[in-house]
Amino acid sequence: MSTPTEEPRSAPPTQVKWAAQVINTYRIFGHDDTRVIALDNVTVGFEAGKFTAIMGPSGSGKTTLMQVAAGLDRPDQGQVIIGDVEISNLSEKRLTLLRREQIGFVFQQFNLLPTLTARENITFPLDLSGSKPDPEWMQTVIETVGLSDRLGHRPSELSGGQQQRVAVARALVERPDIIFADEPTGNLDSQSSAEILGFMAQAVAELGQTVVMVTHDPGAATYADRVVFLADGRIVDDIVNPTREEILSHMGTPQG
Amino acid sequence: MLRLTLKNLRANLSRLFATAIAVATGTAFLAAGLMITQSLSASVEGDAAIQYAGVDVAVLAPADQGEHRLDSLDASAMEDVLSTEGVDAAAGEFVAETAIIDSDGAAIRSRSQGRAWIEDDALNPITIDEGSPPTAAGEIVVDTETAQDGALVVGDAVVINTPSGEMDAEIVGISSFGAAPSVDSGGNVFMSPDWAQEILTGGHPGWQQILISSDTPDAVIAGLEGSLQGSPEVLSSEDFLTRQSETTEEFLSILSPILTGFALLALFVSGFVIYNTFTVVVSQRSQELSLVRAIGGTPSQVRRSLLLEGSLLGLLASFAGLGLGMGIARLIEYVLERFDVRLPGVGISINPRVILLTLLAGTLITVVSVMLPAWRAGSSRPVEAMREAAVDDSGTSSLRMYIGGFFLVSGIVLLGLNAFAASEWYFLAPGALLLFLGVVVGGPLLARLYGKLAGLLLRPSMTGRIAADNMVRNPKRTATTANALVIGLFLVTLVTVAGTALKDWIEVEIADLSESDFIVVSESVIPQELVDEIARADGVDATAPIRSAAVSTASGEAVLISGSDIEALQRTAGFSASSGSLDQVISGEGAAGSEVGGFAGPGGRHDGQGSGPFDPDAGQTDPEASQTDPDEPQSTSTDDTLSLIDPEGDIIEVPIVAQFQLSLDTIFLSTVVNDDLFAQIAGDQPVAQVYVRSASGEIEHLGTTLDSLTSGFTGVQVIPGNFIGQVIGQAIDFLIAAINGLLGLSVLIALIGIINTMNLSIHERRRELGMVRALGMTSSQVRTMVRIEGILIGLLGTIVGVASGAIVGWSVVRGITDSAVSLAWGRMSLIFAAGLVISLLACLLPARHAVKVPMLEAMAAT
Repeated sequence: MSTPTEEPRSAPPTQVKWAAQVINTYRIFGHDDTRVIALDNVTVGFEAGKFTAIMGPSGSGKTTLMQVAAGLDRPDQGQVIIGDVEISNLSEKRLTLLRREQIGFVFQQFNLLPTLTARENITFPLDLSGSKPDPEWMQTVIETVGLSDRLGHRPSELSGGQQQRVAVARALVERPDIIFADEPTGNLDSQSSAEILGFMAQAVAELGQTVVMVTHDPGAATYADRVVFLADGRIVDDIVNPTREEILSHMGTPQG
Repeated sequence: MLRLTLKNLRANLSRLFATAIAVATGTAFLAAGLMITQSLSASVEGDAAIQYAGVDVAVLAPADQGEHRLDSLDASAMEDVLSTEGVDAAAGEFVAETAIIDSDGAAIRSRSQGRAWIEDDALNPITIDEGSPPTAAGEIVVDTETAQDGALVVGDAVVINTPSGEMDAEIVGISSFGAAPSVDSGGNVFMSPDWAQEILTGGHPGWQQILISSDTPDAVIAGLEGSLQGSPEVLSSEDFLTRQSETTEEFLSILSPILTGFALLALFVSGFVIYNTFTVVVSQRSQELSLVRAIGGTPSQVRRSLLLEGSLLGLLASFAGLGLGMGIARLIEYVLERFDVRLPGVGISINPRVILLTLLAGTLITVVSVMLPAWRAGSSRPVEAMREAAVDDSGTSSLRMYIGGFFLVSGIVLLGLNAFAASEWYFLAPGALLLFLGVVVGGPLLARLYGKLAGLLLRPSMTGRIAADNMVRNPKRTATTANALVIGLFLVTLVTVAGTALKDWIEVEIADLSESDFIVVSESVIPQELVDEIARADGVDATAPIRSAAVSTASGEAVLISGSDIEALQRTAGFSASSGSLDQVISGEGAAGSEVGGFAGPGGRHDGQGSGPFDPDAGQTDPEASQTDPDEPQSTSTDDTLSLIDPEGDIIEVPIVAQFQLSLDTIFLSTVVNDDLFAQIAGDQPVAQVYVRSASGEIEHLGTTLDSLTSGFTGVQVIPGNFIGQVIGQAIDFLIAAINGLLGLSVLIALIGIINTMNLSIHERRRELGMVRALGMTSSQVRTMVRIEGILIGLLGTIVGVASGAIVGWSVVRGITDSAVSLAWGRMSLIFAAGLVISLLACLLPARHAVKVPMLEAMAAT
C-alpha cells in the first residue's frame, strides 16, 4: 500500500462518536538491525456502540494497535484518545485507573484468577476500585452469559468456553466504554467460539456495548460490524458489514 | 543434554543466582565452623606436644593434698629431684595470673598468665625474639602479642599485678612460642624462677609441676617414686602428654560439637531453602522441560540434566561459600578478640580437610535438594507441563493430616509429661522431635488452614484476599519456606525462654545462699588501716575481718584455719551451725568445721598447666580458697580434734565442736576459730577478707564508699553480695546473646529463602500479574498484594517458630525447676517483632519485581 497517509481511509467523519482513537501513531521495537516498525503512522477510530474487528497476518501489528489503543502500551509518536481523554500525558497511575473504569479486557488466555470463583472473577475489577456491582445489571449479564449455575466454581472447574464467558461477563459488568478482546476464541473449539462471538455481538446490539476484537479467524470477523485490515504496521483495508467472502478476498489481496 | 545443561546454567544465571546464594550461605557457616574447630584442636593438641617436647619425666602435684595449696609441690621437692640420679636438668612450672598494668591503671590484657622462666634449653619451649631471658628479680619477658598490645619494648619499666600485689618490673625480652606468640591464650609474663617463687606463689613457695629431662627416664621414675614427700605423681613423657591432651580434649569435646552443630543447623536450614528454590525453578521451566520431553528427551535425560545442573551449581556455590566462610571465621575471631578472648595458636587456617568437607557437603545437599524436583520433572507427561497449573493442592492429603496431627499432639503431650513428671528427661528429646516432625509433616495443612483464616480476615480488601489465596496456592512450598524461618526462630525462642527463666531461677536460688552485702577481698592482704576504715565507714552495720593461715598438723598435713569474730561473722555472713553448737567456738574453746555436701561449690581446680585456652578463673576471687572436691570431701567432723603446731612449735589441741552451714559467703572458709584462738595457733596474720553488712537502706551508698576506700589499695576488690549469682546471671545473658547471634544467621538464611520463594512465585505468575495490571490493579495495589503475601508467610513461620520454641523452653525449665515458669514475654515479643520485620524486609525486592512485570505478557499468545 503506497497511498500517502495524509488522507487515511478511516479518517473519522465528524458526526460519528468515537470510543477510542489512534492518530498518526508510531510504535517501534528494537534498534538498528532488530528494529521493527509495529505501527507505521496509523490513524484509526473505533466507533462507539459497534463491534470492530482488527485483522491481519502474524506480525502485522494488530495486537500492538490494540494495546496502544487500550492504553496498555504507549506509542512512540502520535496521539491516543480514549473517550475524550488524550492519554499520552497521563501518569501510570491515572492511566491504570482509566483502564479500570473505562476499558474491559478479554484475553486469549490467563483471563481469570485461578484462586477466585467465577463470581469473584467477574466482580474483580469493581472490587479493585472498591465499588459494588449494580445487582440488576450483574443479573442481566450473568443470565445473558448463561453462567447462573457455575458462579461458585473456580476456573479450573470450568471448560475453556465457560472460562471465556466469565471473562466476557467480567468485561461487561463494569459497563466500560469499550471492550478490547485479543483473540478471545483462539483457544476454543468452534462451538464455544460461536457462543462467545454471538454473545459479544449480542452485547453490542442489545446492550449498546463497544467491542474491539483482534483476530486472525475470518469466521470470527464476520460477527463484526466493521473489519480493519493491517499489514506491516499500516492499515491496508477497512470494510463495513463484511461477509465471509469479502473478508477472505481481502485477506488474499497481495499487500504492498 | 550436557550442552543444554551448560547453556541453561549460563542463560539463567540471574535466576540461579538466588539458589547459589542459598547454597553459599549454608556452606559458608559450615566452613567457618570447621575452620575454627580445626584450628583450635590443631593448635591446642599441637601446643601441648611442643610445649613439653623436651620433657622426659614430669612430677605433678598430687590431686588432693590437704586443704591448702592443693595444686603445688613443696619447694623442697625440686632439691630432691635434682639430687636423683639420671636427672640432667629439671625446671619447676608455676602459673598464676599476672597482668601488666598500663598508665591508666588497667590491665593491658585481662587474662595474661605469669610463668616461671624455664632456664634449661631442652625443657624450655619459649624462644626469646629480642633481648634476653629474665635472670633477676624485677626482670620480665613478655610475649610478642602482649608487647604489641601494650606498645612495649625491651627496656620499658612497667607495673605488674601479681598474686602478691603490684610491683615494678623491667621488660628485658620479648618472647614467642613456636608460630604462636604465647603458651597461654591470654598472653604471658615470664620471670626468673626465684622471683616467680617469691611473687607468683602468694608466699607459699612451691611448684605446680616439675619438668625433668633425662636420658634414662625409667631410672629417674624409679628413683623418684617413694623418695618424694607427700605423694606426687611421677609420669613418663607419654603419660604426661596424654594427661595434657585429656584436659584439652575435654575442652574441645564441648566446643567442637557446638560449632559443628551450628554449622549443621545452617546447612539444614539452607537445605530447605535450596530445595524450595529448585522446586520453583523447575516448575518455572516446566514448559521448557516439557518441550525437551516432547521432542524426544527421555525422563532420565531430563532428570540427569537437572541433577547435573544442581551438582555444578552446588559445587560452584560451595566454592563461594568457602570464601565467605573464611570471612565469617575471621569475623568471629575479631569479635572474640573484642572480648579479649584470643583463639590459641596461629589462628584461622584453611586445610584440605575443611575444603573437601565443605565442597562435599554443599554439593551433596544441593544434589539431594534437587533430586525430588528433578524426579518430578522427569515423570511429568510432556503435555502436562505445557498446561498452566492453577491451584496446587499437593501436600494436603488427609493421611498427612493424621500423621502430622499425631506427631504434633504426641510431641506436646511428651513435653507436658517432661514438665510435670518427676525429673525424668526421657520425654524431652522425643517430645521436641515429634513436635518438629509434626510441624514439618503437617506444615502444608497448617499453611492452608492459616491461609484460609487470613483470607477470611482480609476479605474486605481484594488485594489482601488475593494475597492470602496466593499464599496457599502451593501449601507445600509455603510451608517449606516458612519452616526455614521456623527452625531459626524456634531455637532463638527456646534459648531465650529457657535461658532467661534459668537465669532468674538461679539468681533467686543463689540470693538465698548469700547474706553479706559486700565482701572485701584481696589477692594478698588487706592492710589493718583499711580494715579499720571500712569498720568506721558510714552506713556500715557490722564487719567481720577474716584472717587465714595454713597450719601444719602434728601428722604433717596442712590445714587452712580462718580466724574471725564469730558473732560478727554470724551477723554479716549468716554464719551458722548445721550441727553442734557455736557457743564454744565463740568462747575460743573449739573450732567449727565446714559442712560437707550441703553445697557443691563452684570451686574450680587450677589445673596449673595453663595450656588450656580457658584457664579457670577461680584463683582471682579466692586466693586462699579451700578446694572443695565433691568426690573426696576434706571434711572434719564433730568430735574430731585437730592437733596443730603453733609458731613456737608446740602442739595445740583444738576440738571440732560444730559444723557450719556452707553458703556462698562461707564457702571460702574451712576451719573457723575465734580471733584469740587463731592468734595462738597462727600468730599475727594479716586480714585476708572482710565481710560487710550495711545498715538498712544504705547498701547503694555503702557500695560507693567502699569502692572509694579501697581504690587506693592495689589488689583489693569489693565484691557485692550475691556476687556469684550476678556473675552467673551475666554469663547466662552473654551466652543467650552469643548463641542467639549464631542462630540469627539461620534466620538470615531463612530471609533469603523467603525472598527467593517470593521472587520465583512472582516469576511463575507473571502473566497473571500482567493480567491484573491490565484489568486495572495499580502498582501500589500490586506491591501491597505481594507484601501481604510475604508477610503472611513470615508471620506463619514466626508464629509456629516462637510458639514451638516457647513450648519446648517451658518444658525444659519447668522440668528443671519444678516451679511455675515465668515466660520471658518481653523478649518473646521482641523475637516476634524481629520475625515480622524480617518478613517485611524480605518483601521489598519481590514487590519491586512484581510491579516491573510487563502487562503485555498477559496478552501474548503462546
